Amino acid sequence: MEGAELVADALGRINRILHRAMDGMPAEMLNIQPGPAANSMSWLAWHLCRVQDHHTSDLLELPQLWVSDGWHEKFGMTKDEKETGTGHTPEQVKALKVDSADLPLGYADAVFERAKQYLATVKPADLDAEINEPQYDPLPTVGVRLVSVISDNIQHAGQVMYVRGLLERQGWQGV
Amino acid sequence: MSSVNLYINAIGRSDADLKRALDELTTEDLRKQPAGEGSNPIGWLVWHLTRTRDNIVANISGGTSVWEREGWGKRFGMEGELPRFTPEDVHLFDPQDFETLVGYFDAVAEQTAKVVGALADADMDRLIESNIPGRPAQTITARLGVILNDNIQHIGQVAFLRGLVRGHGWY
Repeated sequence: MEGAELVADALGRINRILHRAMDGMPAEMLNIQPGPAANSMSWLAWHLCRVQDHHTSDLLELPQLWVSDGWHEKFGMTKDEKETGTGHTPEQVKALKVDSADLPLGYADAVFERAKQYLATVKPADLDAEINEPQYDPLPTVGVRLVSVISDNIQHAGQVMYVRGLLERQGWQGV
Repeated sequence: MSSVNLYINAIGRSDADLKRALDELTTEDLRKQPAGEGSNPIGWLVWHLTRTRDNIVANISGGTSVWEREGWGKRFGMEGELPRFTPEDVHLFDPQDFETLVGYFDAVAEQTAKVVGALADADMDRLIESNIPGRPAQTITARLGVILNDNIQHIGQVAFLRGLVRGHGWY
């Protein structure tokens, strides 16, 4: 398996984890924060998609789906490509609520579809291309950027699963 | 970047996150179960992800696990066959102390870097027999995929639990 296929495989697993954990779940459960200031499933899914959209669109040199396809509006948020959730305050985490699992899962499917299409075009040598971000030394390569996306996204997908398990154990099963 | 390098980078990056998540925790924090007695605490998750990685790397190298070779079972008080963990076993699991838990993790991380670092992309499609009886042979890609996907999810869970036991603002 070549590098880009490996990344696509990892992103596919992440997408399936989100569906398995969230499909058909009532919104109030998705929005529960399992501790003071802890991240809800809604926030975690939104954030990991934002990271994926941000970096994939950047590599494609396209506007993010967040702004170009109006996902920011569907989430009731501002049209800001820099808003990925990194550094959110507890108030911001609390404010992110969804009405249905269809919203975060719809966004997840859209960003994964774009990532898949992009990755299908990436040749092994492309992974070594440098990204012009002079704030980093050495310059990141496409491969390094993709590694950071999957490492971030897999961790957050694991957190979604953990929160799901945690809510079930606390008696939320069947709500 | 070769596929092998991609694995090494992704695992290395997540391992650095794990170390950050464990920084300045107490032994007591390793045992906390904020979701109740059936839920996985940080100590068990770290042990489990390390033990899984150790087995996979041994499987790829065709050698024995660090667990067996270096006598970690004794240090964890877990000699012999390991149980299939029930919630009760998870509750009773003793992560010992940081020296033991992180010591085992570091030993396995070192072995992983050695074994995976010696692979070439051409090895990735090679089938290896499972070290668990009855399981079908799998490619090295599939075995490394478990480390990449399963292990890194658990690392994310450790980071999440740190937030639950220590509160906001550590990340």
